Parts: sequence; structure tokens; C-alpha cells
Amino acid sequence: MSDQDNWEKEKQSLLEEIEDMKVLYETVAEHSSFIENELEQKNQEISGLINQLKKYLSPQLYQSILGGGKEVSLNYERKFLSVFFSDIVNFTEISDRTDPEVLSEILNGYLNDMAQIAHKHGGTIDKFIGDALMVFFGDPEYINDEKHARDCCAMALEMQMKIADIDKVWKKRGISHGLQVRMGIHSGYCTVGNFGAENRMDYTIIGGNVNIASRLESLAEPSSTYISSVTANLLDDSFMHNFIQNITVKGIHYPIEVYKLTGKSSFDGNDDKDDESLFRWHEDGLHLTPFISAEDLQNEEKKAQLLRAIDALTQSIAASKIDEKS
Amino acid sequence: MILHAGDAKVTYDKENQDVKFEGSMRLANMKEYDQVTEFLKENTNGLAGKLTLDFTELQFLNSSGITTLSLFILNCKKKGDVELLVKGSKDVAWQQKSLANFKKLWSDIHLEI
Repeated sequence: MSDQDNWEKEKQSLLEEIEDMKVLYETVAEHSSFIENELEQKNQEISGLINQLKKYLSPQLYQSILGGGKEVSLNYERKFLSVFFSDIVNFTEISDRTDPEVLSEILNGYLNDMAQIAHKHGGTIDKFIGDALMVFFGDPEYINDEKHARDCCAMALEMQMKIADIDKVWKKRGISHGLQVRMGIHSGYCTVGNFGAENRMDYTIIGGNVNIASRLESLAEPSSTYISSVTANLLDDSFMHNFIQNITVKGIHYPIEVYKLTGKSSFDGNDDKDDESLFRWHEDGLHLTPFISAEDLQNEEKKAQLLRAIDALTQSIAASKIDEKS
Repeated sequence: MILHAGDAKVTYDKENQDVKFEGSMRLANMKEYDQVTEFLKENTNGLAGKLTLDFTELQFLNSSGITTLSLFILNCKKKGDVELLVKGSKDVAWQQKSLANFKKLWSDIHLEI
């Protein structure tokens, strides 16, 4: 065989090999594209599922689990928490008298508003129990006991303000009772974690201190928030509260001092510098003037806030006059 | 003979001249796939007649894996000693397209999906 023939044979062999490599490259590229496309599709499916799942979890817990910070298993720990309960006054009667469709709509609207306020203050929504709401502060993200108590009480006060607005809407919708809510707050060591079975668990809190918070809520007058002395002692001077009574709770061998949470000044606390409330409380009463300017009143939100507060103040004064007469 | 390659298992049945791939084959790179190349080379060296590559239980194969198997097929084609039967499953999404591409590498391959 001549050199020319050898070269031709070698050339042919190389060309065949190049052709094989070309096919191999195409095979690998197509296989890779298929895997990537499938991966992308699966990612989209998972994102959709996570977005659905997100609605069932508090943002803190969602971040904790999805961010890999918290192992999802049947484990628990003792933590000092501030625990909040709320319940609508006469809800059974309201539900008996209201069309189910209307009831569902207004209840979801109310719970949605409450949940937004809870999230804003950093609360972990434990659960909705019908019309009742259970929120706690201090897990999964722990800052300090005082801040959790302050955030919890600030949340309750904002909720009561919002409820005054919702009350008007409910009355317009034909619910003669309107909306009044009892709230209770207590701080103490609780057991927090996942409870249930390996394949179905709830992230929740249990313990005597949880029961105390629930008991305070059931004792509270309509449209008021009762807090325990433990919570009250964690608050700074910006929060106002009045002693109500001592209570005994089943299983707790000492009396619990109960206070009514009545308000908060907005510029005193270190945590609330961003809060642009127009009011400030002093020992001698409510001061408005230094915080209201003509510019403030151009702001629709501030104007609405002012009108709400004046309305609440008027009602409060009227109620106190009725109490005095009776 | 069995080779454990990450989450995958490769079994060679000498009697039936059958290589079975199971699990999820996702070794990090071509270097890591050397163990698979060696396993196939050792067990099929000097072999004649029908050789079956059974992928029906292989759920996943990454791009380094398909490259390794493609090179093995090209090697078989070059040597010309064996008759290749490639078995796949319709239930495993990647197999229909990618196993069919083996036939483009070597048109003599018998494909069963």
C-alpha cells in the first residue's frame, strides 16, 4: 500500500472519528438540555408548591425551614416567650345570625388584617382557632424578653385600633353586635417545637404559661387587652397599664396580677423611632399639639390616624361618663 | 460483579453478558466516571456475541455519565466484537430521547424501549 493510500485511510479514519465525536457532542448536549429543562420544570413546580405552603406558615418559620435554619423533626425546647390570645366577643351569636357567605368573608378579612399586624410586629402566628388567634414572640427568632413583650403589646394595641375601624364595616354589613375582641398576653417559659407524628406535625407552644395567656384573654372585658404582671414588668414606661385584679389559674400555685393595657406613647421607646404616631402621653394627659403640624395634616394617613384617635378618645370619654353616672 | 458508583449500582451478569444500571448516576465529573469505564472495560474485554446494556432501572444519568457511556459504545463500535442491545424504559423520562441517540452513534445497536 502506498503512502498516499495510507494517508487516505488515516484521513478517512479521522473523519469518521470526527463524525462520531460530533454525534457524541450532540448526544451529550441534547441529554444535558433535557435534564436542564426538566430541572427547570421541577423547580417551577417546587416554587409553586412552596408558595402554597407559605400561606400556612409564619414568615419567620418559613424562613427558618426554607433557609435550612431549623430541622423539621419532632423536637422541642424551653424558651421564654410572650404569648398572645384573642377572641371575638359573642362570635357564636354573630355566626348564628349571619349568612355563612358573609360571615366567611368578614371573618377572613378580620383575620387577614390581624395577621398582617402580627407579622409587622414580628409575631409568630401559632394558629387560627375559628375566630380566635394565637401569636407568640421569641421563637424561631429570639431577640430579648423585653423586646418580645413590647412588640407583643404594641401589636395588641394596633390590633385594637384596627378593630375599631373594622367594627364600623361590620355594622354596615348588618352585624348589629359589631366587632369587639378580647385579648390576653402573658410572658413566661413555654415548650416550643414540633408536636405530633413524624409525618404530620404542628409547630406550636405548650405549657402552663400558655394557659395563663389564654385565661387572661377570656377574663378581659370586650375591646380590652389584659396582661400579666410578668409581661407588664418587661415593658418600658411608654406603655400604660392599670392594675385590675389578682386571679388564680388552675395548676398555678400563686396568684397572677392582672393589668389592663391602655395605651402607648410612640416617641419614648428605643424600638419605635420609625413610628410616626401623632400622640404622646404624659402623666397629666394626652399631648397632641407639639406633634401635629399643618404639613402632617396634608398626609392622608396621618389625618386618618388623628381622626381615629379623636373618635376613640370621644368614645372613651363618653363611656367613662356613663360609668360615673351608673 | 457489582460496582457502587455514588447513588447508582452497576451489575455485570457474566452468564447472560448483561450490564444492569440502577439508581441515580450523578458522579461529579469525567474523572469520577473512570471507575465506571474501568468496570465496563474489565468485564467486557475480549467478549464476543451479544452484550446487553440494561438502563430500565436507571432513574437519572448526568451529562458526564452519558458521555462515558457514549464513549464506551464508540469503543465497542471500533472493536466490532460485540452486538449491543440497549434496553430502556418508557417510564423514565430521559431515556426515550437519549437512548435513541445511541443509535446515531452506532446504527447497529438494537434498541428496546
